Amino acid sequence: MTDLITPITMPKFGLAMTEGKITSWNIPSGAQVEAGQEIADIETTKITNGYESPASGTLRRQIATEGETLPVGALLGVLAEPAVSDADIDAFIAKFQADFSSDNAADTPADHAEPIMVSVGDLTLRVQEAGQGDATPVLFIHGFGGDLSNWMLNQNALSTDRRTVAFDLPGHGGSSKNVGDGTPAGFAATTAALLDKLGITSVHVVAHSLGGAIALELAKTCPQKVASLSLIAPAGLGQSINMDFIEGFISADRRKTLEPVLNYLVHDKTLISRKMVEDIIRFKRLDGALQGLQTIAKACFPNGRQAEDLRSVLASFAGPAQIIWGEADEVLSPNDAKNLPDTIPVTLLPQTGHMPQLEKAADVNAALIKLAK
Amino acid sequence: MQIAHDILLRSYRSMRTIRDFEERLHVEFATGEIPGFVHLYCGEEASAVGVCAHLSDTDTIASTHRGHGHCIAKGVGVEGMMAEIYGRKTGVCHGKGGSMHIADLSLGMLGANGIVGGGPPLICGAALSHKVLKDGGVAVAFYGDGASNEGTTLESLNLAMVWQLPAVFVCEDNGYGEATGASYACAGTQKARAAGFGMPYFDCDGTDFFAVHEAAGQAIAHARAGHGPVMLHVHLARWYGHFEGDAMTYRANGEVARERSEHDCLQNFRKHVTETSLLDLSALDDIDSNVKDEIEAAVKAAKNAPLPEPADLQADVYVSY
Repeated sequence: MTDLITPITMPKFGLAMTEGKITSWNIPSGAQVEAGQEIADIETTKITNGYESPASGTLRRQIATEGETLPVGALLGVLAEPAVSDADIDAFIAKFQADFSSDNAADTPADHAEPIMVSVGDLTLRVQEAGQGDATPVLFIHGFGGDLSNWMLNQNALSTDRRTVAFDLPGHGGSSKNVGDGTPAGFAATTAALLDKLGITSVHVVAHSLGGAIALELAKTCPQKVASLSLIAPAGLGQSINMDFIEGFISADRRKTLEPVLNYLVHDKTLISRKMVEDIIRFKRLDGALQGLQTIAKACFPNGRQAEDLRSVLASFAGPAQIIWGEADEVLSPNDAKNLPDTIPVTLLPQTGHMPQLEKAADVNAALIKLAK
Repeated sequence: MQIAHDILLRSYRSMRTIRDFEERLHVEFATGEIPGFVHLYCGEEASAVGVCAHLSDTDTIASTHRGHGHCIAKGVGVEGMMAEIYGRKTGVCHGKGGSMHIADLSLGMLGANGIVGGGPPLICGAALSHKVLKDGGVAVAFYGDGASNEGTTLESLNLAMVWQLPAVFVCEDNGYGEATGASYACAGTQKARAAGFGMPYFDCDGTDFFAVHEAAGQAIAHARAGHGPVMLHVHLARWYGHFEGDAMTYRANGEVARERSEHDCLQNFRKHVTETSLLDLSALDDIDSNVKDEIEAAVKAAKNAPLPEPADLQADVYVSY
């Protein structure tokens, strides 16, 4: 019977269409249609176009409703001759939908899920979740000028047996541009509120650079939320900071001026790709992005020094903690990891710059997994 | 010009094959199963077929982004083409070219081309080779009215003339460069442009196979005889959008419907051969039915064919001389 039934599916227009909205049905359910007849209007991000029926027959069902957005290939309706029974059509639809949803699930495993937007108070934060399981979740906090993609080589490695969350801090990536007072304490309060919103009571915190200071503030104000601290080239443990990086990052507005600034981040300069530079320039051109960075720099690094000393917070933190640092860090000095309590292991990575999680992802992941066990 | 019986039948078959191939892609592309981009040649069949009727495998052609018709007219098999468009290993380019890079050098088909105005320079090279090797071949570039404004095209017209190459520049003028009208975008006329280079100019109704065959015959004979390059200006209309999914908001109400009803090269061919008693309609009906089966089989085979594998990635990347 299925040979007599033709599925009407979301068409693909042009090169890059992945989904479309059905703006209107041009014919009612039960009407006779001819092959090539425009039976619906479909709107995409680029184009609104009539959808031509691929075959002749009676439009027995309209599955999609007007205004609904569906992926290419999704079932919009069913064509069949009047002789086909309703039961056969129902069976056809059920089978189509089951096959379609399993195909789609196979295409988009959880590891590659798109980031979602989460409201926290007045702010909207872009959040990338991965993994599931019973083990205590992991939270990633990026640094000044970064975003959740800083963890692209780490998040999946930690997501095999647990939920993991990376997010863009306010003023960064796809999150709201309002950075508040721009202090680590302010960001820590937002981070705590995000965890509450996601229903997470306790996390292993993995934090980089300025994110390290935020993690320490979080451990100070909400110690019950912090199961462990893995601090990668963290701020908050010393005074000095490479202001050429901070100021250059803020002022550079072209590839030529930004690229040398980004070179401070890594030991192997070839890791700074053209795309990375262009992505950052694009981000900085967003409304409010630059002001946000300026506010943070003023609050965290006034007069060319780090404002907050959080060594005592780390020393008195009750849970397990570790420090990971690149020996060739040109932004924050690995000397800041000296004279900490013996209970806090320090991993120093040779020939590694300020972003070990990118430059030595395997070493960093091994250390992170060890502490999160 | 009297056209041989077998050439008439073969030409009709080519035009019908192009039509059905493209009509089928119009439906299949919408399902989302075909990767990339396709541009359909429906309505323009008589141009490719009328020109290629004068060519053999030792002649070369370069095509456009709208290349399926030129491929079929030059003799590329539909099964290999369909598989190529589906990105399958059994495709003529092993699934790594797709719609805009179908090529078969063994047939003198230098390839469809994603670059507007990319074909004319290629055929200058091919024509130079025909001239130097004295193999009697000609090289033909199909290009659109949009490409006629590209520097590569104008430079090629000049170079071909300077070197007196056996080159044929076939300007397929469907009136639109993507969504921009030729009446707006093309300064002067194609005829005056050819004259500017001192190049002989022919033109014809591209929806009439017999008109194209006649004009192309003269143009190609001129080039083949060693008298230098020529321009053949073919006036035609495309029935579908610039690309599949194009809403064609730039076309007048009823414009395409009128083209389909009044200037269908297949219908006009059938009418002409019956009026002049050249062919029996039943022979054409047989072709229609055979082509339908052939396209159906090509789509089935393409859908079931294997995809290229990672190991195939580096095959055919380098040519050794």
